[in-house]
Amino acid sequence: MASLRISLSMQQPWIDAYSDPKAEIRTFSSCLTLGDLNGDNEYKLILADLGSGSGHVKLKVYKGTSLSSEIVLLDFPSAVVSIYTDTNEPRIPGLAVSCGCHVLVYRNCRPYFKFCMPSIEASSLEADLWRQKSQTTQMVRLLQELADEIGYSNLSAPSQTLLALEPNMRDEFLNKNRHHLIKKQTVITCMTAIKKSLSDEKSVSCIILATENYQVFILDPEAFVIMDKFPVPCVASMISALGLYAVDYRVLLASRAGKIFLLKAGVTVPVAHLASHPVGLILHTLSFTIATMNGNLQSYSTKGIKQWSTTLPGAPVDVCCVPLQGLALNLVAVSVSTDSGGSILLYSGPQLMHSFNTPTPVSALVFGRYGQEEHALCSVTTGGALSVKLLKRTANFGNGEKAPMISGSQPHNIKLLVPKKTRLFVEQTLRERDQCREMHNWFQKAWLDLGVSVSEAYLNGLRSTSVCERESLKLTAQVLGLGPRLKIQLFLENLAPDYVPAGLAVTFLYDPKLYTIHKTYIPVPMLVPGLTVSLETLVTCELGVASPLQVLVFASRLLLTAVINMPPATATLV
Amino acid sequence: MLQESLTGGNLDPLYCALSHYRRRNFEKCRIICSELLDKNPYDQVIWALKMKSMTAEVMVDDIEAEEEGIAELVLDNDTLAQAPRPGTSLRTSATAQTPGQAFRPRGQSGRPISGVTRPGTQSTAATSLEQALKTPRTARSARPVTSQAARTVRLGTASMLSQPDGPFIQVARLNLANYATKDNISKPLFQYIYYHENDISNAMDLAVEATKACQFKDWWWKVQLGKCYFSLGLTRDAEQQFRSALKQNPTIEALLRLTRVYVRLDQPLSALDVCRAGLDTFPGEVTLMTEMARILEGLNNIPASVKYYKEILQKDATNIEAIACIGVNHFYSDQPEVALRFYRRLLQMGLYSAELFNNLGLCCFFAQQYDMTLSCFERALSLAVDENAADVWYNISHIAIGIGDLRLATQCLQLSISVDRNHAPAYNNLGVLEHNRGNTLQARGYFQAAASLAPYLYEPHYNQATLSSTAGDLQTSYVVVQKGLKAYPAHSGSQALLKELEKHFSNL
Repeated sequence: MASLRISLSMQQPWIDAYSDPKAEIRTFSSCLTLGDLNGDNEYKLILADLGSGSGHVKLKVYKGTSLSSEIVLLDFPSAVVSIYTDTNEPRIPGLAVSCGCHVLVYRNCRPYFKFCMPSIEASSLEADLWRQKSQTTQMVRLLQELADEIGYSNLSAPSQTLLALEPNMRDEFLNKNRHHLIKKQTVITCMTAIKKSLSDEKSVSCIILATENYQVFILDPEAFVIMDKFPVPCVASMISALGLYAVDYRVLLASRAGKIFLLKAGVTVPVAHLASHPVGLILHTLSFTIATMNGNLQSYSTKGIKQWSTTLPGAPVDVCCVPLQGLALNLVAVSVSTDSGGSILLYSGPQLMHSFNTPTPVSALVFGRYGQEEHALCSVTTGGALSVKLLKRTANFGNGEKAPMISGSQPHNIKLLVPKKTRLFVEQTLRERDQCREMHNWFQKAWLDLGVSVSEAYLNGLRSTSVCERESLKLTAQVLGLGPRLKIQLFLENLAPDYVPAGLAVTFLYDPKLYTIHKTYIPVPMLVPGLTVSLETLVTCELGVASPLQVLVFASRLLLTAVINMPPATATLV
Repeated sequence: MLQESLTGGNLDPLYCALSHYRRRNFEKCRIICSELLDKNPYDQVIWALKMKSMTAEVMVDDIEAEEEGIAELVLDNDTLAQAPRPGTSLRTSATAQTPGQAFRPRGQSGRPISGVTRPGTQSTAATSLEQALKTPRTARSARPVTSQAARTVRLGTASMLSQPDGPFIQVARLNLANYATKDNISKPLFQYIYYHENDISNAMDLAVEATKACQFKDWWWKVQLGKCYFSLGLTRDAEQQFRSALKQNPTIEALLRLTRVYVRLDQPLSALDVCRAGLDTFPGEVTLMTEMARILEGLNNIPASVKYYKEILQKDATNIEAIACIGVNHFYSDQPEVALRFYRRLLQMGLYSAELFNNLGLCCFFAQQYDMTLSCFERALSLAVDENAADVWYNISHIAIGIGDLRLATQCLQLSISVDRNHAPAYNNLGVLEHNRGNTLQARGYFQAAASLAPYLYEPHYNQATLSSTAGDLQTSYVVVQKGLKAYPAHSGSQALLKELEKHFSNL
C-alpha cells in the first residue's frame, strides 16, 4: 500500500479559488482549455462536458466562479483548443472543437466556421460494385469478399452499414443509397495547436490534427485550408507539438499500441516503443515525458534515448505541463489515483517538487491563465467535481520533497500473531491421547446420528418445499418501505445450467386480517439460467401487528416456499 | 371480599398500599389507591402512590434499550464528515484490524462479530436512504423507524392498553406550571408522563417548568430534561443538560446517558473520555467499564475492549456479557480451548440456549474434543428457533467440511438457507462447494447472491473475482475484486489478484 506524505516544511502553495463538488462534469484533458474568449483579458475555462450518457454533450464556459455559457454539441468531441485565427482587433480567439470528421470553430460562443476533413475515395473495386446495380444478395456477397480482402474497416460507411444490417432491411437501404457517391469519411483522433509565425501569446496559431486513416494534417487558421499533410505509420491517439510552423516545429505522436513517433521536417521517425500503455505525453525542446499505465513517469530524449524513469505512488490518470517562467521551472503535473483517493504530483524532471491529495482521482487537468490570475490549475475529478486552484505568487518549491515512501514492511519483518499453546491445550491433548479410542467411537456414532437427523431435516425440507433440489431455484426476498404500505421484492434465479423451468408462478400465504396483498398471483417469466427475475407487489398492513408471510413458488406442484418476516408497520403505531 | 383480601383486615389501607408497592404488587397497590381516590379525590399521597405504581409497572431500564432507528440514522441534521479519520467513528468499518477480518468474521450488520447481541450490534451503518430502508428489513429483526417507535413497540406502551374508566390522568388538561412547583409531586408525575404515557413533549414541558421552578439547581431535573431532549433527537441540547447535571452531582446514570449522546453523535472518543472521567469518580464501576468495552469493540479495538471486560470480570465474576465477549475473542484468536472454558462457565451459570451450545460445539471441535462436539450441536439444534437454526446448520456444515463429508455439508447449507433466505455466508460456501464439483455457473450464481445480500463480506467478491479471472472475464474480475478490497482492504489474496489484473491491462 502506498501512502503519500505531505511535506510540512513547505507551506501549501495553492489557494483554493473555486470548487464545485456538484458540477457533474465528465471530461478529459484534451477537452479542457483556457482562453480569453471575449478579448477582455479575463481568461475563461472552456470544457466539453461529455455528460452521463443520457443528455447532450455540452461545451461549457466558466467565467470566474460561475458558468457563463453553454453550447450543445451534436457529437462527442475529441479535443478542444482555443487559438487566435486572425490578427483583427479586438483580439478574440476562436474555439476549435474536433468532432468526428469536422472541426467546429466558435467565436464569441457562436458557431463561426465548420471545417470538414476531405473525404477519401473508396477503393475502385468498391465504387464499381456500387455502380453496377446488381441484386442485393449478390452485392452483399461481393462486398463480403471485398471486406475479407481489404478489411472491414477499410470499406466505406455505406458498405459497412449494409453488411451490418439485418438481411430483410438491406433491400430498402440499397435502394435509398444507390445513387450516393461512395466516399469514406475519416475521424479526427486528436488535435493540438502551434503558433504560426510569431511566438507571442496572442499570435495566430495553426491546428494540427491526426486522423484515423494514418495521417496528420496542419490547417491554416485564417483560410481554413490544409497546408500540410503527412502520412504516419500508426493511428495517433495522443499528440503534443512544439515550435513555430513557419520556422521549425516538431510533433510527437503516441499510438494506441504504445509506439512513439516524432514528426520533424516532414519526416516521421519512430523514437520509442513503450512496454505499457501511454496515459499522457508532454513534448519539451529536447526531450519528452510520458506517464504509462504501469505506474511510471518516464523521460526520453527526442532521439529516443531513455533518460530517467520514476515510479508514481499510484496509477497515473492524467498529465499536464506546468510552466513557471518566474521560477524558471518547467514542471509536469501528474494526477494519480491511489487507494485513498487521488493526488496531484508536480515533478521537475524526476524530482518530486510538491504533492497534494484530492478526495477523488482527477481525470482532467489544465494549467494556465484563469481570470486575471496567471497561474491557475483547473481540475475535474472522476466524480465530476470542478476545482480551480491558484498558485500563490510567493510559492517557492525549494529543493522539492522526498519521493513518497512506498510503505510496507519486508516479509521477514512481519510478526505473525500466533498465540502460544496454552497448558490447557496440552492437558487436553494428553486426554485425547489416552482416550483416543473412546473419543473416536463416540464421535463416529454421534456423526452417524447427526447424519441421520440432517437427512431427516433435509427430507422434511424437501417435503415442505423449503429446500428445492431438482430445479435449484434461488429465492431471496426484501421488504421495502416504512408502512403501512410496503413493497415486497422477490428475486428468483435459476441455477441449474441444463434446465429451464417455465410456467412458474408466485403466490402468498398470509393472514387476510393483517395484510392486503395487491397482486396475489404473479406469473414468472421463463427462467433462463444466470438471469435474476425480479418480482414485486405492494402490501398494505391493516393492523399494527406483524406476522410472517409465506411466499410460494409453484408450477404444477409446489416447488419452493420461503418465509418473510414482516416489519411492524409504523404508521399505524405512532 | 376483594377489599378484605387486599387490605388484609383492619390495616390502614394506605399502609397496605405502600406495602404492596414495596413488594412490587403494583396491581394490588393500584386497586387500593383507586378505591381510596374514589373516596377522596384530592389526597395527594394516594395520587402520587398510584402514579408511582403505574409507572413502575411499565418502566424498564431504558439506558440499555437504545436502538438507532432509520430516522435517526438517515434524517439527522448534523452532517458528518463522509470520510472520518480512522479510529474516530463507529460508522466506518475500522481499519486497524489487529486480528484481521479473515479471522474474525462480521455479523449481520457488517460489524465484527460480538460476544453478545445488544441493540447496537444489530444495526448497520447505512450510507444511503435506500440502504437504510432495505438492509435491516431483510435481517432477522426489522429495524424500527425511530428509536421512539422501537421503545414503544418493545414495551407495549401502557397507553395502548385499554383503561375501562378513561385514563388515570388527562395529561393535556394538567396545569404543568402549577405542578412543577410542587417538589414532591412533580417528580412522580414526570415519570408517569414519560414512562407510562410515553408523552415526551409534555414530559419535557413539565421538566422545563420544574427546572425553572427550582432555579436550575436540581440536577435530577436536568438529567430528565436531557433524556427528553435525547429522545426527541436534540442531541446537542441533551449533551448540555447532562454536562450541567454532572457538574452539580456526578451520577452514573447521567454519565451513561452522556456517553449515549456521544455514541449517537458518532463521537466514540468523547464517549470514552466521559467514561474515563466517570471511572475516576466511581472507581471500578461495572456499567461504565461495560460501556467503554462496548465502544472499543465498536471501534474494532478488540484488545482494549477485552482488557476492560477482564477488569469487569474481576469486579463481577458473573457478568455474562464479559464472559461471552472474552470467550469470543479467545475463539477467534486461535485459542478455542480457552474459549471453551468461558462458555462452560456460562453453562454452569445456568444459561441454556441454542447459541451457547452452538459455541460450545464449535469450541470443542476446534479444540479437538471430538466426543463432545456433536452432542452440543444436537442440543443446539433442538433448542434453536427460527433464524438461530440457520446459524447452527451453517456451523454444522463447517464440521462436515472439516470431516470431508461434502454431501452432508451441502445439505446443511441448503437447510440453513431454507431457514434464513438471506444467509449470505451459506450462499458463499455453497458456491465454493459447487465450484469444487465443477458447476461453475451455479457457483457464480451463489457468489452473486451472497455478494448482493452482504456487500460487507469480502469472501464472495474474492471468490467471484477468481472465478471470473480463470474464465478469462478480466473486466468483471477487476470490478468485483475492487469491491472485495473495499470490504477488506488488507486481504492479500485480493491484492495479489488485483495486481495480476492490472498487469494484464497495462502491459502491452
